[in-house]
Amino acid sequence: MDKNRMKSIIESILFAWGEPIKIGEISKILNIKPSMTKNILSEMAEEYEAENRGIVLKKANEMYQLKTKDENFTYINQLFKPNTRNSLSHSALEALSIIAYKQPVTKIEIDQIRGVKSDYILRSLVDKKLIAIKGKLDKPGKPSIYGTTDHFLSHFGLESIENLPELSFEENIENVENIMNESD
Amino acid sequence: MKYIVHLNKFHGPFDLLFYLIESNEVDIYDIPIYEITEQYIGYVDTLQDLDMDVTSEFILMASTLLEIKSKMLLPRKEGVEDPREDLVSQLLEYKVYKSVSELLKTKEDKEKEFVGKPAEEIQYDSNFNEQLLFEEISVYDLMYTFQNLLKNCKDNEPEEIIFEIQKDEFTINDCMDIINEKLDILKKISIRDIFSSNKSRKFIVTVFLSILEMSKLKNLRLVQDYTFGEIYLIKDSVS
Repeated sequence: MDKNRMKSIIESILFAWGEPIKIGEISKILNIKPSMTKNILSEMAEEYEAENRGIVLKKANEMYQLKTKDENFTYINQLFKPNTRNSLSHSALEALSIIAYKQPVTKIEIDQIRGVKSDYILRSLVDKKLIAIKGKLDKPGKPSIYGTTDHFLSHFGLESIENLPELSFEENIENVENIMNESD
Repeated sequence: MKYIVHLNKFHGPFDLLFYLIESNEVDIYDIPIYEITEQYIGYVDTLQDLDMDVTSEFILMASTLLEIKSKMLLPRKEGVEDPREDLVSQLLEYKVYKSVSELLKTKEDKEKEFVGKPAEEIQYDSNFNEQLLFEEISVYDLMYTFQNLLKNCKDNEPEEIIFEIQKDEFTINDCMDIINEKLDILKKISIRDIFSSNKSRKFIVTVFLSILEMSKLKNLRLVQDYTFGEIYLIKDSVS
């Protein structure tokens, strides 16, 4: 099978499936190596870009999805009913940021940083598949540890977890220590 | 009432505290604990006055602030840490994630402009012959089919349904009488003997129920010599 044929098949798969699909899944269908699939997918992404197409190939970790181009949003938006694409609440975003940077993390750690209980928020984030329970900590009470999912990456347009914006945290802590020392 | 607008946006005690520090334009590393505590408690009071649900976390923070305030009043020895230190580092950590969450918010909004479709439910018929071929069906076919259906409906109109009510062959009362008679003669009967006369399922069930009924009414006692041994019926002396 030549490369162009594979490209055509993969494009059809992505279109028909709609949601993000794993490289492994595509490779299995085509019976080719995942590295080959990855290769073709990145070529496709470049082609869409170069040809100024109306669709883009979005990557989130090992998942790929066809989406419409952001430039065309105002036009597509006219087809949508208002308010069907609801965003996350402020509190949910807070909890999500803590999980994203501190994962794997327990609920107690999240509560401590936020100063409020996060039970409800965590449950709704799990329901939305933005976070998942990654295991249990071997400590009294066996607390669940949370981490972000591939769906989280695609929700925020991140190709991988390393693409998160950098924290200015270390800097801040150093500042505190310096100033505290000075005041003493 | 102008407070409500502000109060609604606080997502926790740190959020409120942060707002106070920023609106007072004070240095976070040198919080004027007296003023901030006063204002904080003022806000929490307003929350309660407005009948809003003040969660325990807000109260906890109020007491932490009061504790720090009282510690600040005491003379501090050399080398003892500032009572505000823990709070400040917590606040700073919170601030980091708060600003990150705002960043994520803008990323989320941007990403929404790329529109993807939800998964399609893709199904196909495994047996092509079963697919309906509409091309060859005319309106008349539909009409005939419908008429046939109606005709069938008439033919199948339900007839009178006749139920047969079966007469009870044995009643519990009858059996109780029989057992009583037997007991009057024999004083002690084994359960097996009673059942031996008729082996039908109905009879066994009825006799069993009547034995239970009689023992409940204290007409007889059930005795057994040893575990899993034969069970005997004895006329209860009380009755």
